[in-house]
Amino acid sequence: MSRESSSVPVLELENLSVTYRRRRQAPFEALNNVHLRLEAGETLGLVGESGSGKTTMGRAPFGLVPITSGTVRLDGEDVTHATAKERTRLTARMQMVFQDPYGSLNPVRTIQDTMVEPLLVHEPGTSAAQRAQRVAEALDRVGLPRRAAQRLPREFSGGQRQRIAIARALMLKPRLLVCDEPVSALDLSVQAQILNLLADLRAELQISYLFISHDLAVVRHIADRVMVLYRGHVVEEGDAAAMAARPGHPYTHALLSAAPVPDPRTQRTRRQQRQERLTAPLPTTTGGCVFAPRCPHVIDACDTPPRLTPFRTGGLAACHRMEDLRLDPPPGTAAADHPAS
Amino acid sequence: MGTFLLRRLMRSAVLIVVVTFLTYFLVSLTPGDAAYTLLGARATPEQLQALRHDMELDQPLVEQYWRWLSSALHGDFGRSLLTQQSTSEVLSQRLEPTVSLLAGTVLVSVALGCLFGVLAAVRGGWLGRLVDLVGQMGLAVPNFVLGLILIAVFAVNMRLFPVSGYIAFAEDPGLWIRSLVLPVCGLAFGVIGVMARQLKVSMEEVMQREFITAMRANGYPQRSIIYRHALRNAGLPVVANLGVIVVGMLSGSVLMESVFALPGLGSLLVQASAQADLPLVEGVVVVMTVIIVAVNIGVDLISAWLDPRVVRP
Amino acid sequence: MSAEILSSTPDPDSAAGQRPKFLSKERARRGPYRPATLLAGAWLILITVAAGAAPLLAGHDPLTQDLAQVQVGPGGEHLLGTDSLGRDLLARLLHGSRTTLLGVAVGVGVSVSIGVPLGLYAGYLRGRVDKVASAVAEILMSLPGLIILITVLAVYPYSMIAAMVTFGVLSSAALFRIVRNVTMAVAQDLYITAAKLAGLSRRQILLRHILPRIRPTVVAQTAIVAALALVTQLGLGFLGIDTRPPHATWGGVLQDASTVIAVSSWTVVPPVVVVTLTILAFGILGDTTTSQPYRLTRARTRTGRPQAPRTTRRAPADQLLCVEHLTVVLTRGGGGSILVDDVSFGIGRGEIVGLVGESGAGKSVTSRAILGLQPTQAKVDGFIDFDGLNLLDLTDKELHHLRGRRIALVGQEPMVSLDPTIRIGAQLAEAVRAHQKVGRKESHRLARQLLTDVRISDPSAVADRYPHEISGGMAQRVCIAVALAGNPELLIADEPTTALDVTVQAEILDLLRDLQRERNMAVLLVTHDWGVVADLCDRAIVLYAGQIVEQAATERLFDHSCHPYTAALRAADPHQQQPGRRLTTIGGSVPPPGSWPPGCRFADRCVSVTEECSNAAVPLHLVAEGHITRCIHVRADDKEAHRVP
Repeated sequence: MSRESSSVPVLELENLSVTYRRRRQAPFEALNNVHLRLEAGETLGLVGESGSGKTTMGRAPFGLVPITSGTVRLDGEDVTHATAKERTRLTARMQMVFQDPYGSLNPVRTIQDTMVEPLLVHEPGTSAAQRAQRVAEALDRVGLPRRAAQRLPREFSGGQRQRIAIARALMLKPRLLVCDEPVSALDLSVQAQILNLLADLRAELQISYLFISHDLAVVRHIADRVMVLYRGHVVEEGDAAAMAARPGHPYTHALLSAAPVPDPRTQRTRRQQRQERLTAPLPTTTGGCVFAPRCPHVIDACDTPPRLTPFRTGGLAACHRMEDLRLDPPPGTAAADHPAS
Repeated sequence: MGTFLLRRLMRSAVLIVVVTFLTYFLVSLTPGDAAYTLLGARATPEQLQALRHDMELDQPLVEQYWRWLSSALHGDFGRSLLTQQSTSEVLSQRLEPTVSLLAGTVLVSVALGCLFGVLAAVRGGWLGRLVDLVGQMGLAVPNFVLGLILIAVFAVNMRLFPVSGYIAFAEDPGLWIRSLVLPVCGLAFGVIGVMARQLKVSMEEVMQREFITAMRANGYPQRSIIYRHALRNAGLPVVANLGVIVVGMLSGSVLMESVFALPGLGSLLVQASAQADLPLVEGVVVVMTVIIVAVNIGVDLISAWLDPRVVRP
Repeated sequence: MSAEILSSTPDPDSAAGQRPKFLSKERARRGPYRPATLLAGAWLILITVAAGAAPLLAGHDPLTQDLAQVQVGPGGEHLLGTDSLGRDLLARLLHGSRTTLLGVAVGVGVSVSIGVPLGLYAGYLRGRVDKVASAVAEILMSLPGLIILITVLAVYPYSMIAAMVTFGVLSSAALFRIVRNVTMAVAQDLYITAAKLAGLSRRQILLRHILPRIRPTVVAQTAIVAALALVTQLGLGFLGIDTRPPHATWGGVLQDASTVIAVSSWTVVPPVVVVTLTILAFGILGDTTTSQPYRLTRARTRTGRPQAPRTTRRAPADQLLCVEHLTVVLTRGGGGSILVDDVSFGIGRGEIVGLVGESGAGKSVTSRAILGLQPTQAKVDGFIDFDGLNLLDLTDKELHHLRGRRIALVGQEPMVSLDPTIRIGAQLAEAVRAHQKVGRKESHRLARQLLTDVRISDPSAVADRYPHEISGGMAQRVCIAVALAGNPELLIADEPTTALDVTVQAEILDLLRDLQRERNMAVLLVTHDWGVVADLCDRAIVLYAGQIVEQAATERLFDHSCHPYTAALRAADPHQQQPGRRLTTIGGSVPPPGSWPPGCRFADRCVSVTEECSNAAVPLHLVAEGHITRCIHVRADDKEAHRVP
């Protein structure tokens, strides 16, 4: 983890709000005044459930979402309102890997056709042979045979397609890679391969990852720092291991206790401990804490929105009661609870 | 629901204005205007000029149209240039055959189209292939050609139905039906094929959906799965398409009226446009557009009833 | 005319909102042309050539009348006979085709050059252009086409070109709408976003990604516009207003024939045949629908095998379900591969058994075969003994009687497992009436009771909603309520929490456990998630490539994973690992059905593989009481059994 406050972060989101306008419906506020700072070579995990705004946050740097206020900075450069031409230039510095390995490759174009596209735009001078060479190297990097270049996407499995998608994203050696649920659609055995590949590439190429997932275990595995989102608000942020050991926000705690762990005995105790059931989500919030309608620890103070403030483990949390609540992690949450062989 | 209907009505009003203005504009381009039509080739330029002034034909087109529109809103569509009959009167005489033909065709084709579509989807096999074939043949044989064939076979050879002509319902309901059988068959054949085929494809798609599997697995009655759940969902795209089908039918009815010598709106239009009888042409276009608008609103209501997602409160 | 066919493709904007079928992955590949398509193309080329060479081929002048020879039959001097004025029919048809085909070309040309570019633009860039163009298109599509054309011809008498240009403008609306909708659907594809992020300009994206995808649709719809143009032109010719009288067109030939149809029926035959074939040819080129017949009844099972004695198989008394030698094979039409290979297991009353595996392992197929819901083109063999009944021997009717009442199903995706057009309460009440003889009112009361049973706090309000008005977790509760309506003894839950958020998943798992206890229901739980197995199951069965590779009581399985696959799969789960450390992985990927190796199916990916592994199929064998595995390296009571690190 390289955190030097003096250095310019790779990506910085400041006071960012995103609102989607919808036909004949009230506008949907996907992100509310969020901050994010991603240092060079760092991996930041973004966790939340559906509707939390994590995908919106991942797409904001690319200008794919309607930003209503706030600033997006890439390497210190304000790109919030970049023109189409500037965006084209920026794509060499940041790329994205998507969740659906089946949808992210054009089914009627060969892998080569798809993979050379960034080169056509950013290095128009390269010859066909040079481009083929670059594609071959990119395929090597992600552990696929070079002959894959001439095939169509349908000839590959989900895991292989995800490798191709990663290879494409890395064609121009970007500084930032946004991974939007890159392993959620994959089988367990393949998921581990892709996570290892991403870890290797990070070490090799010094890239920063913004890693989005609904699965805290996956995020904890790859990320240095984790940010928890709930309904467009950052509710907690901090070191991955510290957060697992001592969650500061009741929602983080709920996420940690909800995921069943693959150990029948531990899981039994976890289940028994999960006394404080979450109440059903209510449709609207009253302007106070967004989590209050589901929170088992709600008090009168929760009618005012809490601010994201430092917490004694070194992280940040947005909860009025974070210091007085004792939110012990359920057993089996930290890997240390498992007898390592 | 209320705003939904209101929006629909607003759009319909716009449609009627656009269509009538277009027609007005088109017919005004006709070489030889109404004055010329009335006075004939031997009239002097002065006579023409005078009549044009009397009829206010020398005023700007938009003004003429505006005047027509405001009196039309009061139910006055003007008089035929040739016969001086009131347009509304002529239209009301001509309305019945056309509406009978259209209503009969819609009834027959919806009933048979649904029946064949569902049977073909559920049974498949030869019936499915037959529906595919009829679906394509129905379009390949233009309906007026089919009308000719029907006349040759059922009217001339077998003498089961009259060759042509129309008997009003009030006159003799039995003969009314007999005079409509062949034109309705001719017009409906293609539509039945199209609808059956569309419903079949749609049903097959719906039958693959997860909720049908869930219902089968949980013991919902077979009949209810097909006729209540699958048909309702499969019917959505077919119903949505009904408006376009009726528009097509309206065009077909013009030809059918010509084939069977039915004194309807279509034959009136052919005749009036040949004579540049602007008030009549306008009148027919208004009535036909109103029919289309009414059908579209009906279709929207049915869609909304079938699918709650159509209307958002 | 028959404008209706233009809209036979589903509209993504429509309420149903499904993706057009022609964009599905299968259609993306350009397959070999169907014979009908080739024939249709050949016919169109033939008539075009014939029209071009009409003066050479005709032999007669199309306008020369020979009143001595009116309406003569085919053969002799006049190959196709003559018309009512004694003109040569072949010559009139050949010459007529020039005007007619020109008219079609004009109509199609105008229609395509307006509809396609505008549709592409509006569908890809949306915005104001899209709004305006869509509104105009909607008005154009509501215009009675022929009526406008008749009016146009009144202004420009006998100007076929004016009429067909008008036709082109009118029909471009439908073409526009389809191109726009298809473009819009394609533009939402993820790979378009990916291309944008690669830095491609809009123009490049249109040319490289969107056009190739929508080309088949454009070609097909153009053919349909051509068919419509032809039909329209024939209609105008039939009314005698398309060209000045002696000039020949197909419509005119038809009209002439119609005047004498009562006297001579031959004259009508050649034009009708030519016209029909041509429209048909256009129609075939424009037909993109693929028929996928769906059978409600099961394919015949146990074909080509002598009836096995039914009486010998009796499950032990405590077993509710006993599956033996279950094999599901796709028929040759469906690919011919094996999906499930000789799977045997049992479920006791009130027991929760997990069926664990990755995609393609056959777990869903296995669970659905129990309900007789295997894929349409599959053949099922073996025995499925449910409380003394062999389910594979039952007729559809008998099996139907069991579904919901004794065995029920909860599926993976709650949002698509309910009929979107019917209120929750009504759907649930119908399930109640399917299983109990109660009236409508009582069934609605029982439905609300069921909603209370699945811990929905405000059952009346939920009953009045439609499926799209409730959340995923709520929908899954409703699906469970539907499954409980018949008070089943066995509930098959096929990945019931996979599509849900993690906090909702926990609630659904708790609910399933509570309900199972309250009703002493057996549950077959299909899942890929070891956490879910640990949370809920008494016993677990691990499937790999269509086979059972291991089966044991849950705790035993977690403590002593014997099969290398089970061990490796558990090790690959990040929940089990020290964060930051490299994950243990399994090389390669699950072999898809049809490409399974002959020996151990896991051999290629196994770390402990030896030469013997690939020699012969590996049988299951007992390791300890209730614990079986399929690995030659694991012996009974093997203390060295693979343990999760």
